[in-house]
Amino acid sequence: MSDEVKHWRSLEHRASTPEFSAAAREEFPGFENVYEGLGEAEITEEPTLDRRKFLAASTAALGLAGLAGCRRPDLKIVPFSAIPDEQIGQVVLGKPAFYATCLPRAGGALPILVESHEGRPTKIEGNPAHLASRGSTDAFAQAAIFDMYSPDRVMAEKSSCVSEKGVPRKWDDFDRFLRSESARFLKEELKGKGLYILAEEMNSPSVRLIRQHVKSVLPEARWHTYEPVDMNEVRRGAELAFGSKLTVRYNLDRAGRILALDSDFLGLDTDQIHHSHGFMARRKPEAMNRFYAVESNYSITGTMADHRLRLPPSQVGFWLVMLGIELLANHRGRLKHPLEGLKLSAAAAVDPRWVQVVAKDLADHAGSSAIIVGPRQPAVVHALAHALNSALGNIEAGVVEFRDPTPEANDRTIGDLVKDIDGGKVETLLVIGGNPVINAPADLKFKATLQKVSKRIRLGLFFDHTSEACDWHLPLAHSLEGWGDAEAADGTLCCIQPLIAPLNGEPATDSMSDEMAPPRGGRTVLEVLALLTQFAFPGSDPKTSPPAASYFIAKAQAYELVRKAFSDRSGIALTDTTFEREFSRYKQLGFLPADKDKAIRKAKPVAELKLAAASIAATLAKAEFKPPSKDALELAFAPSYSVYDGRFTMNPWLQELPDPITKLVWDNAAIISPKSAAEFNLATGDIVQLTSLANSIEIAVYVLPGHADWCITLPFGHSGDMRIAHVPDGGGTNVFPLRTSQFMHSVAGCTLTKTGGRADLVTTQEHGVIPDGRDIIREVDTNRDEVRSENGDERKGFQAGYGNPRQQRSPVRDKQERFPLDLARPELLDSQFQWGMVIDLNSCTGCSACLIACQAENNIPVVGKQEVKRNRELHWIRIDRYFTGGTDEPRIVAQPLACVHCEQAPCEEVCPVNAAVHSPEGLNLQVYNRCIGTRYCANACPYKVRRFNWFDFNKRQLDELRTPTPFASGGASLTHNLMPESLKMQKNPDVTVRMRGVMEKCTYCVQRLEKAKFGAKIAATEVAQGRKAIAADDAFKSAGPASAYRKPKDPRAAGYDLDPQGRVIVPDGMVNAACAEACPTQAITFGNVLDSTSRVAKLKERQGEYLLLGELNTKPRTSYLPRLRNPNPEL
Amino acid sequence: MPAIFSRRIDGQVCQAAVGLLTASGLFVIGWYYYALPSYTRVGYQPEQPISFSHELHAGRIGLDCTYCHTQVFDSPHANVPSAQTCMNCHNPQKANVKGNSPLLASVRESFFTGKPIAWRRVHKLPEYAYFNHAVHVNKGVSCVECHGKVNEMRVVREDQPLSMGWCLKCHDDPAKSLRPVSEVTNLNWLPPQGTSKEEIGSEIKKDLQVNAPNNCQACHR
Repeated sequence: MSDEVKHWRSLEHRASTPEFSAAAREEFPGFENVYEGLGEAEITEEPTLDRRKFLAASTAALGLAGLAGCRRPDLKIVPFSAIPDEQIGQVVLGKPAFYATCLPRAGGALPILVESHEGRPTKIEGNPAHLASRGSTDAFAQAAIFDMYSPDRVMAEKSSCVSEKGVPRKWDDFDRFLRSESARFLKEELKGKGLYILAEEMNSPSVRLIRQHVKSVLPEARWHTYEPVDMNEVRRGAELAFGSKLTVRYNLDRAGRILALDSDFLGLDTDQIHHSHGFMARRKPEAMNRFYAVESNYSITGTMADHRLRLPPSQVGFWLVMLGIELLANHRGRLKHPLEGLKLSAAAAVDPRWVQVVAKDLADHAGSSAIIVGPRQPAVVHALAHALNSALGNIEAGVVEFRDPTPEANDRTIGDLVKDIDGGKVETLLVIGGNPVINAPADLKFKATLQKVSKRIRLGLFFDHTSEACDWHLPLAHSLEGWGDAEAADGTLCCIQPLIAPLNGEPATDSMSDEMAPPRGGRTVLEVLALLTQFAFPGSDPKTSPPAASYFIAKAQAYELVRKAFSDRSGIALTDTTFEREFSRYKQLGFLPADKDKAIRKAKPVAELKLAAASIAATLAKAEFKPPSKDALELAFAPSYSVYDGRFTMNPWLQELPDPITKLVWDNAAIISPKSAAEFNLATGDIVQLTSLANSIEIAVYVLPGHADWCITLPFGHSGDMRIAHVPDGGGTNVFPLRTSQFMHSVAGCTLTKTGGRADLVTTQEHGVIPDGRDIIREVDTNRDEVRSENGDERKGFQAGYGNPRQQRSPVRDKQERFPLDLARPELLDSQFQWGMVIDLNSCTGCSACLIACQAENNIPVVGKQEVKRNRELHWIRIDRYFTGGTDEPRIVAQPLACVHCEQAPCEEVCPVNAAVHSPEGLNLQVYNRCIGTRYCANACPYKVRRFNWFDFNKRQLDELRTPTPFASGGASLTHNLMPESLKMQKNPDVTVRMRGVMEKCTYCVQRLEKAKFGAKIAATEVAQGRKAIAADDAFKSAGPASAYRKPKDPRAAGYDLDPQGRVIVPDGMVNAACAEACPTQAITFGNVLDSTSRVAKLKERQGEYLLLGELNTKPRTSYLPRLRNPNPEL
Repeated sequence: MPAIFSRRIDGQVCQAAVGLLTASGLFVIGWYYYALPSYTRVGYQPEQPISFSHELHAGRIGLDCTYCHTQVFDSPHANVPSAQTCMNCHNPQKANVKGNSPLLASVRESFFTGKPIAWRRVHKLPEYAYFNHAVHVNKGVSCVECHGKVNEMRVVREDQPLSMGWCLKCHDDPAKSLRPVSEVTNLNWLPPQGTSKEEIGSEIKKDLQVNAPNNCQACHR
């Protein structure tokens, strides 16, 4: 056994620097002297008040609080005056209701279910009925609920109100302005001339109906679409290959060999949940696919690769050309369609071994392989990949499918808009969503150009940079606040229904009549457009459906448009007798199933795809693949894992989400390889100046092992300033100035100069370090069938490994047999529910959806960048990212780690007040009311998963954590809660909101467990008493004491089941932890391990299942399955 | 060396010690009596915005609890009825039972204007305790066990301390507090002649597998 660390978290860890070793030993590094760890900024803080004043105020506050505490709070119960008809029999007070809707996205909407507590949406889940979700979501979807409640959106005057040049107005004022504008534009002589709209890509059929109307009544008006995450190369690639713009989608469950080129199809690329499901379906021990990744930056897709080749983006295309040459030259016989017209030639040579091996493997699997090219590669590379996929027969086999793009793909661009503005054609511009002032290509100088437009109207969620540059800011309703629809990536029509009326949208109290529109609150795109265009349904009677002259008509029409769009797609006329029923079904299901859809964009039949091999070859011949060098670096732009293209910059959950690869929080950084960093003498945190031909920016670097050399990845999205109120720092660096229309994805020939400055980058990669020498990550080479644990094979004695017949025994049964060391725990785990979890490292991409899901479910606050720096983040689940191998070509394994619920928990032994206790169901409980904050438990926890509330994060603003209570803004009372009202609404009512000074940690979502148990027990009682009839299995004989319960034949339909002892249990799959439910790859499985039919019990029997730190005899309930690798033996 | 303390001090120290002990003893007894939920909560009887009498409706008229608290068998909460429920009988345009009574003015107002009635909450558990009505009533725990004989109260008052110790008394030995589920809302139920409450309770405990949990997880999350 060598001394080398095999799994490492950071370069410092790998080198075992003294700083790292010291930090790893400490529970809270730097805690011995809190102020030492703070850095200079903290100490120079001026004390805001003197000692006497503080004491006086504190005493007064204490006294007042004491008095206040004596009074019994006078609470009100406010029932409905009359229960709304649609709720009778459907909505039970105290039980959440789930509504199906979707989150619109540029590449295709994500169908979701939203949990609503008494009309208050609190949590987002995937829609299990739709194939684009299958019940899974991603981090962005989980965080969308925060955006809706964001205090910056609904509590801040600026964002929530209509404003004209910064002066607050009412919607009525804007409506008057808009009416005069639309009346002017509707006139014969103008016909919309000078009216321009710049929108995000909205693939919404109802918006298309309005756009048709715009075309007919305002033929001169122009609609432009801009998305910062540009998909044009994908469409143009298809155009080059097949003659028409198409979108690509992969059915990876049919692919045994996958080659991805600069693609993040499991991470940020379009329809990633569908691709993740497909990919994981073929990545099981019984049927392993093999995945080659060629990429520059380490993406989470790259972490799943069996073989990963790092190349600068410009070289990826060249590499594919080499692969094409190899395939056509040496494997022509095995190709389904030898590409006769495709003559490839290459000027330079790359390492031929990779090319040969991959080509052979792909050819061996012709018809069940896929070559995936990411949207950041130029069109010609896409075209070549299509040609090779076609040659391999993958398109015929349905692995790769093509669709017509949404009509929005052919819209005019932002570049066209700028040309028209410069040409003086634009008089009135409506900017819908997005934030083009920040994220438009830099060469367009959009901010300056915008000022040439005389009337600038902005409809946006937040008062952002674009709002500042416009005359009017209009609050946009969140997609959970209004009616609409959108198409998923497979073309299905999904419904957007409001979960709540627009926040702040209460009617004006001083209004004289009901006809006054609410003065504030968001409006949907449909409503604003209907009002702008005075929308009327074609051929409708002006008396029964007048044109949208007022907000209320526009609102009614918006809903009518959604109905009309459904009617058009389903082919059921609005007047049809079945329409209402089918429309209700559509709202209930959340989408229109593809087989009922008359106008769905189906996958193109293979016969229609005629490959233009010659034109690909001709374009390729002109293409240049010049490699970058030290003096001519290549910069690559990629969306950020935390804020995507910038649309989530106002979301603190996502800002504090550690990036899956870099683990940076609240910031972005220029990602550079260790070798390049060494050449420039750079370390993580050094500020450099990056200069392209167009512009230059200063940005901190982050040295990432595994990144391509002479190439720098710039995650875009951050705006460079922190606009979330009360968040003192963070915000990242705006890299858009380097991104121009011509170089949207990468720009070559850039230079780097070190400025000598240092940035305060905060990364969690060294948080919760489990000391070296432990068996943390297990990897299995499926070819060699052996466990490759951190310490090699020397420690076989402790644990059964993969391929070892000595199975790991189920923790529960072990416990029941009274393990001899088990002296300190007198209670038996005697419940029929024994909860457990299995995390399959083989499926985990590290995408962090589980982390945000946990945050939303369990009322976890954010703590801010400086507190994260001090290891004080409160996320109950952390995703440890481990590198293995050398610094140049490391592999990455992600390991989600929450409380593992040890059956013999060290934390329970040390708690002096019994706040950490065990339940008979195997849960390691934390009783907040007992906790006095000694933090002994966190010290004892070998997994380092306990979190301490150092401050009242749930009551205080982040910039006032250290302000003495009487001086905190908003109130001088100790009992006063400063949490913004809108955030209180987001909280899950079933979970305690923790206060300062208590320890907290993963509870296995105990609130869900309790709910499920109550449900099962009530269902069983109802059946036992004859209040409900089910098909019972009367042959069942219970081994336990007799009871009145009957075993159902279909447990899931009955809502309960009986275990062999005749005890009521929850059927498997009817309860799930929030993390497991969100996971896009089903890496987390949760359930009752005592129920032998449950998925989790079966996984616990799986070969290779291992307990993290099992040698400590903590008997954790969460166990892991190893990461499987299926490397090519020839490589 | 002169004495620092005079002889008198001895006596005074003794007196002070006795006095302190007595004072602290009184304080403890006082605290025990006045600060426990059984004193602070039991008997809390706020004036309601409408002088609704459970004694009349549930007692003398004999309405079932679930006529108004409709969702108690399904939901964690026993819902407070909407004004609509009252208007089933008191609507002047329909059944018109006391349809024009001035006492019902605010109910009518609520029903016709849609403005809800703000009832004052009587029973309140701490925020970190999560109680579920449905599972209790479905297993044969009657309303009367926690709420007392509401059918005899003109104005509802808190009848039991609803403290954790009080909960656990029953959770340790649930048989005493169980009755047939069909009799849960019958607040005057008595075991049939010749049987005792315990006998019936133990039978139900066996039949419905009542294992009242007494671990933290059951109520605290």
